[in-house]
Amino acid sequence: MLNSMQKDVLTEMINVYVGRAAGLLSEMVNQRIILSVPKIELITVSSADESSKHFPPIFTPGHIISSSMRFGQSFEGKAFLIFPAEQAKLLVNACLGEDLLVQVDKETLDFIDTDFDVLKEISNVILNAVIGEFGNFLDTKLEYSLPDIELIYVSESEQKILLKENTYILILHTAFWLAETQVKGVIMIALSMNSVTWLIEKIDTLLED
Amino acid sequence: MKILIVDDSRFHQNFVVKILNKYLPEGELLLANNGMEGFEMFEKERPAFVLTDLLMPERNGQDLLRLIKACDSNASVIVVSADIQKSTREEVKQLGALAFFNKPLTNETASELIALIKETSHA
Repeated sequence: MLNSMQKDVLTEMINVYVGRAAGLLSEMVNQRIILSVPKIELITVSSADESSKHFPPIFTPGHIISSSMRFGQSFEGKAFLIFPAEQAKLLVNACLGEDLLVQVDKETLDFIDTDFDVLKEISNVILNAVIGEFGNFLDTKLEYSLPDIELIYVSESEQKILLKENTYILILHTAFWLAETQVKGVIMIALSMNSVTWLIEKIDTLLED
Repeated sequence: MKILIVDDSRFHQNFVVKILNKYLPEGELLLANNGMEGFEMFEKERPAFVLTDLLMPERNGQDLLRLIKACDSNASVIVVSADIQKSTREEVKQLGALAFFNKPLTNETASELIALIKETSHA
């Protein structure tokens, strides 16, 4: 469905958008952010049902903090920002200017309202920065849902559960690391079929120019 | 000078409070957690400035802006939002916002915000 040029353009777009988002996060935590090269995976609904192998491995199995925002109306999908739970604690501490060297006990993960509030605000800034650029690119206005945030346990076989409830087909994912705290996060954006088609058509007009 | 901060994130509220306390110590800061609370507080306190987020429960920032402007067309409402869409910026401008700043506020944009409040309050 995506030819190499389209994939190249889309990868570069994500790279730029996430780069800007990382710049904002860098301001919030006062640390340098290192980005990975984005990966784009186009999957059919049937292949998503058949196997979880197409879904990006989020992390090793364990607790994760998943923050997500739905967006629509005409360009629609769902964006996720995911951190391993113990690293999310370090990120909160970095934002609050607290001790970065504190060891977080994986067994006694205890998130309080303040932690979720900070993580929700981080995801609000990061996901808006990425999704909003798609709105600008397509010249359409996106409406956002309030961010949902949850602490969940994900086993290896359950990693696709995050996207299961919808029949999304284009998965864009990228990872970033905070240099000082080694916190790793993943951004995933799942788009509906119609939205993917719209995006590809717009990319094609860009390539024709 | 009363300044009302409307944001569902306590983290961001605290961040703005720190900046305003540092650079506008004469400001009397009021806090609200959503657009509904924000409008109730606006009606009661009639602050000189309202700093509001957009994406909030109960009533969003656009609704709050409409309500405030219907109540007082001269009210000074400044939007501070993570939404980076040009269309959103144009929307709040049309609704009568005094200015739009993107979250997170940086040293540079925080300075611009403070300067804007000082200039407008002296105008």
